[in-house]
Amino acid sequence: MAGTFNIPQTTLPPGVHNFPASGGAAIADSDSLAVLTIDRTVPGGLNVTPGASYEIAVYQSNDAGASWQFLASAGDAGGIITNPRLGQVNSNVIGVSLWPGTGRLARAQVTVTGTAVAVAGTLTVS
Amino acid sequence: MAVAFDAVGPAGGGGATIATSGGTFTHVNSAAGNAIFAGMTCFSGTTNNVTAITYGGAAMPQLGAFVPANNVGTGGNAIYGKVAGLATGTNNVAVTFTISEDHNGGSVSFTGAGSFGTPATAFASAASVTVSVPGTTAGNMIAAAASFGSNGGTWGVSSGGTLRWKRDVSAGSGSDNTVGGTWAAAGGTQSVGFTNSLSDYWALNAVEVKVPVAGTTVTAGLATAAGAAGAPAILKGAVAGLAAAAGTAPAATAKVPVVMLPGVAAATAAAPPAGTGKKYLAGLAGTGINAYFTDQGGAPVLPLIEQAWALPFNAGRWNGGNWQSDIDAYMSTRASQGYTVWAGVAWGNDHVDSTVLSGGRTWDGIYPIVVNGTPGKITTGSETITLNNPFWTRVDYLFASAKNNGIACFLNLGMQYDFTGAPNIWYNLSTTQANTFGQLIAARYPQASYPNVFWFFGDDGSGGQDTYFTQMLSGLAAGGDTRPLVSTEQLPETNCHVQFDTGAVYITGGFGMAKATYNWAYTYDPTYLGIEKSYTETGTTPLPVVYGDGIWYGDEGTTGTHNYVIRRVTWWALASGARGLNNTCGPSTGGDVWQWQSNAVAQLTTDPNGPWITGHIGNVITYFTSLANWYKLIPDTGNVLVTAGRGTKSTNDAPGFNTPKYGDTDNYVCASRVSDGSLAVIYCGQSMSITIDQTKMVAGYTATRIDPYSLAATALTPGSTYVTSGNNSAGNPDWVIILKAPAATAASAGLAAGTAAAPAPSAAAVSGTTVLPGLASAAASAPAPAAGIAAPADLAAAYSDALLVTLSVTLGPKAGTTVVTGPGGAGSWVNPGNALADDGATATWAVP
Repeated sequence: MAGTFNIPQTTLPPGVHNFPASGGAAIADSDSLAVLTIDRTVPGGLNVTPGASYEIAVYQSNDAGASWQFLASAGDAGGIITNPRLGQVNSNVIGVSLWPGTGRLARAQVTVTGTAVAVAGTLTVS
Repeated sequence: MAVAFDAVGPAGGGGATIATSGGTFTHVNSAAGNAIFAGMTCFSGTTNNVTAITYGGAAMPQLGAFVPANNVGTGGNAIYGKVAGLATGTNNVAVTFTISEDHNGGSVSFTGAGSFGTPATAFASAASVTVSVPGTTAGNMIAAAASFGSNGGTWGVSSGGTLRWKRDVSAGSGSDNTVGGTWAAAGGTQSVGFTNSLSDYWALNAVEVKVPVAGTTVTAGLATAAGAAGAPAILKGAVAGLAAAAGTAPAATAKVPVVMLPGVAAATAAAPPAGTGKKYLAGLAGTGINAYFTDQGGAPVLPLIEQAWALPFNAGRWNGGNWQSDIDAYMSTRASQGYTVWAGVAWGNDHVDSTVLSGGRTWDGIYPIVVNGTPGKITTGSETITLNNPFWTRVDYLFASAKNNGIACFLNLGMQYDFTGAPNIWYNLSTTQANTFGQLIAARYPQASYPNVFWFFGDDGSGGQDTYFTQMLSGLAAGGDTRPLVSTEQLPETNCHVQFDTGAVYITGGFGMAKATYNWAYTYDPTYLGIEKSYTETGTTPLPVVYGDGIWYGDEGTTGTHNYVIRRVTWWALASGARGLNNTCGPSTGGDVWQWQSNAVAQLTTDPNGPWITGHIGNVITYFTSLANWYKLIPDTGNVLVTAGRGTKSTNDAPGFNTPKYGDTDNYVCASRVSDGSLAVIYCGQSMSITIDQTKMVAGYTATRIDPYSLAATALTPGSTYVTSGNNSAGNPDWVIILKAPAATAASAGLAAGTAAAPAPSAAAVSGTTVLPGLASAAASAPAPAAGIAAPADLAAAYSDALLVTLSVTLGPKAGTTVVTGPGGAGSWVNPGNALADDGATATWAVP
């Protein structure tokens, strides 16, 4: 059963931030993929904050949140970024296969460096 | 003993690109017991089109899943590996694949390795990507490879790693660049990955390279199984269940882990090409006006055509660049709705899409042509031109997707607008370049590899581009192209040969007269007019005719009669002997399909014009082509079958754009008949009351009234008069009447009534026969199968043995001569009674 955990628009100071802030988003036993997407275009977001950068990551817990296993991460810089194929980059994505298990939880983590930056996004498991 | 880096291939770490039909790069391996790892990207699609990688001839199984770039495609990445049994010294890493496009990668060999661990994968849209490899053991190594969408950035490797290869090729897809690296395993979960100074799509695969398990012997070919002890191995999702989804389910390959038990060798057989075995339009059979289209097995096919003009160059425009998804959605949906031909252009022009980029570029700026070494637009006509691979890779994919779905492609190589619009691709084309272009296309698309692809020319022209078309076709021929289907569209109210209003040849000596192999009728008048006139044209070499273009679904605007109009367009053509038919989702009510605008995919299944395309036309074609001998129907232009009550025939406008005639009050009765009387199809857009000559049908024929919308059948009492009244299920007065031979006699009747009036065969003479192997003597001695001439004993014997015999006969001076007797007696020929159209005409008779 696919599910989406929304990361509401929020401004993050430098440091490590988890979504949900505590606990995790439930993963159905049949789910096998997690995708974290962060919108760079929100007010105060990465596109307008060249002094910031972030690392976005997905974690998984197989023990009800007692411990968390890093699965994958992606990083990007602040400011307007363009490439010849996509044009302006307006979102960042990290996706990874979930490890098998039952009663699993997932969470997103955003590690901000430089200056504070606003984020909004989704963590989807399917 | 620990695992250690041995060598990278190609030496120097520059990676390799293999872009033709397969290729190699070298790797220097130091010992037979080593392990070798490779990464290899695909340029397009969401599934892996690499079918095999070998080192020194030994297979390197795929490790884990193919990862689409950012999980949405435009290519992706996969890794491969083999432990032990390796050739030593300099050997080739050989890569084979099904799509001729860029494949980028490299290889690394390791000493002291005994197995590969469980692969890990991730995808991203960012400037860096990492993935965790859990449960590593100190002393092992980790190897990883990734694809990336942008070229020209600065590569990096995550902490503790060594960049082993990097290769920048292009930003033409989400994966035309590659990077590979290794890390010493530190024990426990370890993060590995890559960085780039640019931000784009990634596909990342990583795997632990393990020392041999104590007490085991490394055996060649058991790489994954050996390493799987204690942990399940995640093998590629496409091992078994994803073959059917190839090209249609972008997310699937990364989502379906398959658990393989320890001790079982990795399953690496490539998924068979999707759509294998699908029938598609492949050629023509028969001659002249009696010819018909066939599939690759020779069975008759009625091409159902849609002109989704802009699909190739606007695919991906509305979904973030996933052009493969758009193409697959179009082909699979239309195939499910009964379509068998896509017609359109590869490149953009300002007629098809007024917002198009100049020079024929795709929506995202990829030029079709490389001009003097740089992708761009022809400006002088004297430049050297080649094909721009990233552009044509999309066309490759379209052709392959079409074939997988049983759809043929009529690719237009030059609309009139391509030449006359200053921003467009051929505005400055020279005839020399036209010839060169033909040769380039021939080289890229050999018929053997693209048997469902055919060339088309023109549209809304009146001969001004014929010289260029001729040069392109000459170039194609010079390149070895011998495709049997070529045609052209001129102005409305013409076919390839004549203008419908006068019947005169439209362009004397024009491209259509000289080169077309089937006749493309283009009309905004009632379709029966153009079809009938294609049968009766004079001063030409008659060809099988299709209703190729004109009124599309919804073209009449918002009058609420879309279904009625398109139904008449369709049945007027079918009942007049059209061998093919265009039904295109029209633009007048906002249809996005033809220009491939933002709602195109949704409108494939939710058509704003109504349900005709999504729910009816496929059923109509299925029904029509279920009628025995449908492909032999000839319009009853002389009122031979329908002798009274024919109604009023419309008149053709002159060539050009006239006010369309949607025919709301048109009461002409269209009728066509197979010459042996085995089938007749009659249709009128209004109620009809007709008289027929029953002697033109086989004895015992049946009559059925068909609802042209729902296809509901109502048996009628055969007789000389037929009257329809009341409305069909769509609320309109149009009905179809089908007269056909009873099933038991359909294949052998035809002489009961019709032949009494047929002229006696006269001066028939055998000009040549074609007989299957073993029947050569029969062929050489067979006389004409005409009345009064006995079949030779050996031919009769062959017939009685049910061997297939095809006999070609050329008639003498008497047109209309009819073969009445085969070697098995009257009615023994499959199609006796076929009256030949003209002196010197040829025909074939087949004996099953």
